[in-house]
Amino acid sequence: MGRFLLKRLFQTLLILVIISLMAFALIHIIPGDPVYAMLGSDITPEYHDQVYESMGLNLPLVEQYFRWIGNFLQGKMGYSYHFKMDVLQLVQRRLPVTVILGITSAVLSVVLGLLFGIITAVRRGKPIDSILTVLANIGIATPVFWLAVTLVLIFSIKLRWLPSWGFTMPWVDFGKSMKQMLMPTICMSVGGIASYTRQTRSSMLEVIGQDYIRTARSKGLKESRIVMGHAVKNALIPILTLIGMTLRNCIGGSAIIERVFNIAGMGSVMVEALGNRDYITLQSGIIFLSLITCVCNLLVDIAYAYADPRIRLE
Amino acid sequence: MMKLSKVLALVLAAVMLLALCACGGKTETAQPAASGGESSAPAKSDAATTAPGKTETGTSVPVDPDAVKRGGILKLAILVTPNQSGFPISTGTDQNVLATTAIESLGRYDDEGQIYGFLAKEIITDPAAPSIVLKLQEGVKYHDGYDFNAKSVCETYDILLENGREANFANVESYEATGEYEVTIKLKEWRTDAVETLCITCGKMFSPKAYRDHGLEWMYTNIVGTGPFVQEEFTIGEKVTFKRNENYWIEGQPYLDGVEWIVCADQTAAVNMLKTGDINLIVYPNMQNYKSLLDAGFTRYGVDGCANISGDLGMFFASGKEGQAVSDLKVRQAICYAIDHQALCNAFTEGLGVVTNQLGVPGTKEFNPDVKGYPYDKDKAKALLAEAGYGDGECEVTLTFTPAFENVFVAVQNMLEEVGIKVVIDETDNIGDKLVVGGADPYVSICWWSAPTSVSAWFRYFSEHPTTMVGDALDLKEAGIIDCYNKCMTAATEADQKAAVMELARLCVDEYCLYCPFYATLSYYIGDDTIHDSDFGMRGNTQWTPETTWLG
Repeated sequence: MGRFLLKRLFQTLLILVIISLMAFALIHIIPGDPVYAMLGSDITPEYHDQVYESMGLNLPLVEQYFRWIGNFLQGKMGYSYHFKMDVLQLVQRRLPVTVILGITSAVLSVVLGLLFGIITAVRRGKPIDSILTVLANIGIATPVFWLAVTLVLIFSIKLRWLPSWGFTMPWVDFGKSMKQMLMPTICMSVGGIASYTRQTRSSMLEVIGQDYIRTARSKGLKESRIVMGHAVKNALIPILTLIGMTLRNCIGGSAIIERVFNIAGMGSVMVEALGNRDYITLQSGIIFLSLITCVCNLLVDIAYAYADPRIRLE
Repeated sequence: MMKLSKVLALVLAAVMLLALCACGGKTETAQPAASGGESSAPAKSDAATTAPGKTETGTSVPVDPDAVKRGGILKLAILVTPNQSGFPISTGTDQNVLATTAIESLGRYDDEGQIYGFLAKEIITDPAAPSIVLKLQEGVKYHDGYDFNAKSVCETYDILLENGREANFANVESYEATGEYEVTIKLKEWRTDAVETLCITCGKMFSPKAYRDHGLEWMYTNIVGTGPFVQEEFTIGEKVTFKRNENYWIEGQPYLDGVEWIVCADQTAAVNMLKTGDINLIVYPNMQNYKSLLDAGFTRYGVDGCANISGDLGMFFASGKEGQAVSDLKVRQAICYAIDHQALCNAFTEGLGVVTNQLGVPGTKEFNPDVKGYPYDKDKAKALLAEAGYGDGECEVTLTFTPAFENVFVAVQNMLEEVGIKVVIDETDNIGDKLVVGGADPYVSICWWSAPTSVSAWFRYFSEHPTTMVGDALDLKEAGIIDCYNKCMTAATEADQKAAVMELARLCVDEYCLYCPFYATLSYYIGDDTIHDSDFGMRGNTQWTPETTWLG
């Protein structure tokens, strides 16, 4: 396990270096001037040059890169000229919103997706299988933005049951928080529930057809024990991969959901930073999200070993 | 079982299809009809030069104290992300409206568009001297406790000069505190925009003490003024909140407990918030949303006229470089003839825009009705191109614009191609560097442009030291345009100024064809009918009166 972790750590570092180079290069290729984006075009050229220099943008690109990466490694993610605060502070402010929303929708996706997937596999060919499978297909095909706008139209504007915007931390006002989170969570979960349902159904059907399951049945074990004790465990490997992807999305956030529901999360940070040429926020944000992705992938790989002892890590 | 699943699938597909079709229709929400507040029907644009008229409705300051209801939080949606207060750096109109919650000006516009003193209780002009004397209100303090007086006004001017606002003070010879509450400003020459520049544009009084104590960066997100509301929170991308200033200098005001500005990155979210009653007003929605809200029964605040014209949308000819097609006057004229302004206005402003053939807008003092312009005529466009020596497809231009106006400029591209002009598209997110003097790349020949419509704002294009490029197709000094603009600004009488402004319009359009405005875009405020005496959209694009605003 130790050697495996070291190897993965080295791979992660290499990946992050490559991503940092690509992110830095691509961001600086985008046309547009960050100073004019920040201050408008009415400023004098002299003032523009003064601000340009104060932001360090007049330095050679290589120097800019190494300055930024050096600061990043020391935990200084830089200063966002658009948001007027340190990027770390910005992430600390926005990330909890995205994580809470993301984790809530992830848990909902996993729990309901697994449940529906197991039901459809165990009840294969029955009406419930058909209904859930069709619903899953609809869930995958439904555009998130359409679903979001439709839910707002019905539940906020027509019925006035739920607020159409905003986010409150659960520990500040639990009731308000739940009301505000309900629709965004549903929107973010629908696709996940559908994916998990289909994947779980597929994996379960494959496992249920195995000899050892037949053996367990012939030995007289209860069906519930066979399904939960034997089948589900063995069907978990591909589902773990999905869970890893879901975790990544928790951190990255959904820019679309955040825009429709006017939620200030990480997704909207990256979109705004891109539109306003906030190089530092973009670069640091990309590296941060890449790091999270690598960590999630590592956790999934470790989880494989526990889910299936046959998988050798060394 | 197979049949059942097929039936189920068909039924569900049909339900989805129906739902999608239903969502394509208008969203109607029953709302109380517009009743109180300040509202008027917008003028429709039904001809090439329809003048926006001033309507009769609307209450405005001064307030009837007996009618006022105290208390409540005014909630407004702003559709851009304010990331700076505007002081000392200038910023967009939306952010200016926001900052007006806490920052007050030396002067304000009245119903006729003239400036009267506000923080400066008297503004005494002497064109012969030339000078302006400001007699200031007494007993006013900034939110940080610093005294507002002649010294603080001079300090504010100093700070503006330190921070890139030299162009606004180009005509100022000196300014000094000639009394505790008196500032005397000596000008190099009398200019008609002097009062506006010094009392409105540069007359917004933020605390110089705050600037000196905390620095420029801090000022970006801390609005410290003399206004009726004190900033509580400024979280970029989220909200800006203000609470009532208990020590406000006008007794008995403000009436509200607070003002909350909510940042909405998406206009649909703002519209939903208005429909659910979570906000009272949306500032500057796009035309489509504005019209749909108006149709749904929401209240438009403001009157038609120069107060709500946000600017001309059009394009300027960016390159006079030899070899570039637009360096030829005939080509520029051909391009203008090829564009159907009315069609663009109808298509992209929901019929609410005002077509114009010059920078001034019909109904305003800058508009010259004698300017012939270039009314839509494809045959004439082709003839001019032929005269310039270009056959079909031989003339190539590059068209630069921002994604927000992609639809408009794709339509323009199609119109130009119909007359045989080949168009290369250059769509860019950030056009600022192409708009500054000397900023456009040599290949860029036509650039998107959103220009202000009042002559006082045109210094950035036509002054001796322009900050924003227009008409790089020729030497403005040689063409007499700079001299003409100077006459506009130094005219001794209104008649002289008007003559100079008319001549400027003629030179820029009929004589030299420097640019091609399409239509004037309008800025609207729309909300529920609970806001009273706010002055939104009544006088001046960003002016409102938070101290007299009340909800009820």
